[in-house]
Amino acid sequence: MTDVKKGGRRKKDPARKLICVYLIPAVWIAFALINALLPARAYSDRERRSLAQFPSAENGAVLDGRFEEGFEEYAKDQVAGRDALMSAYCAVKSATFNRENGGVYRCADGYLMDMPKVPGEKLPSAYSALLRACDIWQDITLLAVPAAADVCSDLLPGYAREGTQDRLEAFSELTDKLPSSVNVCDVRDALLKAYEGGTQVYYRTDHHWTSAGAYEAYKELMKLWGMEAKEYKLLPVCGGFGGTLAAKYGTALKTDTIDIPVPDRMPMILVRISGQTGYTTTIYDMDAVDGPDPYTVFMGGNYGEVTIKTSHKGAGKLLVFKDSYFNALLPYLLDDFEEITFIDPRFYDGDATLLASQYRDRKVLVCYSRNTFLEDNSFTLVIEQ
Amino acid sequence: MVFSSLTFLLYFLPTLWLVYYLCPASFKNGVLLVASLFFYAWGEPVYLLLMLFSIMMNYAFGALIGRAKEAAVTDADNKLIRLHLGLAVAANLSLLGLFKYAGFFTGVLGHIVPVEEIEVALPIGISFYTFQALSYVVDVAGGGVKPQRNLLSFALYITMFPQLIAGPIVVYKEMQDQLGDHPVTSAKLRRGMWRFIIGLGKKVLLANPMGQLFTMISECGEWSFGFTWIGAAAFTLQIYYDFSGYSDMAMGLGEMFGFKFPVNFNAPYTAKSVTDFWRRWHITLSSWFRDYVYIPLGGNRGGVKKHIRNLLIVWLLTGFWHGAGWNFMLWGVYYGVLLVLEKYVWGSRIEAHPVIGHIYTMFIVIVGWVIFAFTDMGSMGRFLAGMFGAGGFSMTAGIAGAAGSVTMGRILSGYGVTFALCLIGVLKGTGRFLKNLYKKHAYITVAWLLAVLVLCLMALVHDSYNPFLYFRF
Repeated sequence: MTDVKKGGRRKKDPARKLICVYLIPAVWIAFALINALLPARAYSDRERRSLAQFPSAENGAVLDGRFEEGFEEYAKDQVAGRDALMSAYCAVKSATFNRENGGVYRCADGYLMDMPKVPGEKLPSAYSALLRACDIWQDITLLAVPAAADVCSDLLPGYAREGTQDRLEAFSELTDKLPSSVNVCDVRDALLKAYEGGTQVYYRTDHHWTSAGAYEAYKELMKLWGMEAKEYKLLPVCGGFGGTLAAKYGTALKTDTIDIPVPDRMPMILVRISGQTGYTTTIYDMDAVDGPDPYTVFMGGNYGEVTIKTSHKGAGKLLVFKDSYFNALLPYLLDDFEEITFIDPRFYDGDATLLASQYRDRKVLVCYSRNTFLEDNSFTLVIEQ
Repeated sequence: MVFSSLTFLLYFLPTLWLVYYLCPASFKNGVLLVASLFFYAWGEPVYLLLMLFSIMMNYAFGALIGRAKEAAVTDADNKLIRLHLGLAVAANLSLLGLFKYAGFFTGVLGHIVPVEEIEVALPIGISFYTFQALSYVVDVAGGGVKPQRNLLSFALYITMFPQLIAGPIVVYKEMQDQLGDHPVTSAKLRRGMWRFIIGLGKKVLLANPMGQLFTMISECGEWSFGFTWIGAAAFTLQIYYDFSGYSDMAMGLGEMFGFKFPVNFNAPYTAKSVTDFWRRWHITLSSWFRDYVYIPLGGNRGGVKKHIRNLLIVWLLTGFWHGAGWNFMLWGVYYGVLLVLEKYVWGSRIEAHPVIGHIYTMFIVIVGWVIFAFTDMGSMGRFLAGMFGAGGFSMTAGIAGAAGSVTMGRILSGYGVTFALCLIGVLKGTGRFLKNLYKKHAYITVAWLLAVLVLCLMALVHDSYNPFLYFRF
């Protein structure tokens, strides 16, 4: 083992041979064994999704390749140390100046952002659904929530900023085409102003807006509707929040805090989720704070249809078509309406004609993120059944 | 199954190692055969039958030709050998024709007469194993090779999983002695591991990102001068690292099980002429065409005209071998013509100026890869025109759908480091450096190999982009 000068003698050193020849296969096989023996995880908290399980080999799945395809997914999702491997990969990518991972950009100040969809040549199906809704309801407002990259574009890597203006213009052109009977509540400028004033309007680790961001939209909405916006204090309920962008990117650069708005006087409410028995008296799901997706502290997630009755008799009734962005806006509206029904078309399985007759004379709000508005097809299905 | 999948790396290979190294010597070929059949059947079990048929057929032809040869005394007997050989070649080419080219030919024919285009899914690796089988029957008939009596050994030769789906094309002559006896030594194991991990790294860490870059540029549709050249360079690097990575993995795996496969790539992007390039790129395919098509056609004997004819035939077929499409034929003819020109017009002048020769060769090769990359002739034309300035000189690709616009900054940030590594990797010095490290600094070598392995694992877990490029072959 001591000094080895001639190449020929080196080979006789047994420790050396052990390391050079057998170390790699030994590590490899050991890892494969551990990997095979570790139990499969059902859900990844970090990635916010169910992981692939061992595929079924029944019904000819082996012969037509379904089993094999399923197994590849299984092997990938259940690899030992998956979370650590993904974090390490992010670190390596950053170290090589790469600011993109899993379609998510690493931005300044610890922000993660994904690129918003750009309106294409073809009108989105939600657009035609909106036109159809105009035949049913008189008072419709569209609130299309811009993405973080549309508002805080100065945080993006320089090269990713370039398309911002074109994208905003393309979306404006799209909403300009709407009939004048649709009120368009453009909250981008208000969000930008608040952001420039130092308010955090989007989460660093999640694509959603913060409660502070939603409040800016609330004020705009009230202005548009000729109503008075009320004051709220923000109460932090969840620290160390890492959202879906962090999951896609592979790691959080800085974690977030989720706040909930607290009014001076809490209105009494009854919340009824369609398809579930009984009522609750809160829109918050405090258990979610410790769960896999803390953002679901608002309403506990998304449901097809929810009706909330408040103690404000005679304050008007609101019908909302929404995606998850609305959940952070909802707390502010409770003090301004007698009844709010909100429908998430992606989960709605009720009858469209019934919907139209039941809620005929309501004020209607369509509150979607711009991405959902451009991409989702379920709004059409609900309206045009 | 492909080598760069977690199924292969974490399940198939470790299991095979354990079984193979622990089983008695007399079982080893059987274990390898079963493993190879399993490897091939994974995902497309139906085509296993086709491969088994091909094995039986060629085994039978080999035996028939062998028997005819033993008994041959008269000219009539030689005719019988030729007849058997003709049948064997025709049968192999028919299988290839039916499963690889039927769609293409009926599609072409459909423009002239009303026939339905036949749609057959191309069985993976059919071009590789058919060519190996052809080398066997041809060499039994005239190459001084004895027919393989052991069906298991013959089946192993055809199906051997390391080179089954993406080469190298190992002719039977090179394998016949190894099939019976292929001991694994610690030196082979070490070298095999080294080669395999290098190949895996080439594929996963270099080729995949370059492929992503090429896809990004080809999909953004803004084919300006700068973007098309970067895209073409990215594809040039992708196909080299992908293919040579596959060959390295094949050779490495072969060695782990005691086999020695021929070298398939030899620093092709350092070539000083197109002729030189083809001595260095996919060497086993070029040698196959040389030995089994070009030389039987007469090679360079019989005058200039015949020589040119032979070159063009070989290159048309080489192109067509790469895929049943017009672009592959065009790509083959493109090289055929250039090789003829080098042979008879400017070859000697280019060889006299290595720097100019290298620039010229890379220009030809990069343009060639664009022809190869686009099966749609319209897109190919537009992309090529972009490389010559027809698409303008913009450095931003405007709005490009979901992923955001493509800009030079984005490319540089996302792929700059990998691109630089790729460029370093094509140099001859890099190979020499790694070999030197391997010989003189064994511990450092073990350390960097483990690092590459972990990096590959991370990339395979995180990235979804991991294409298999040879499904057309």
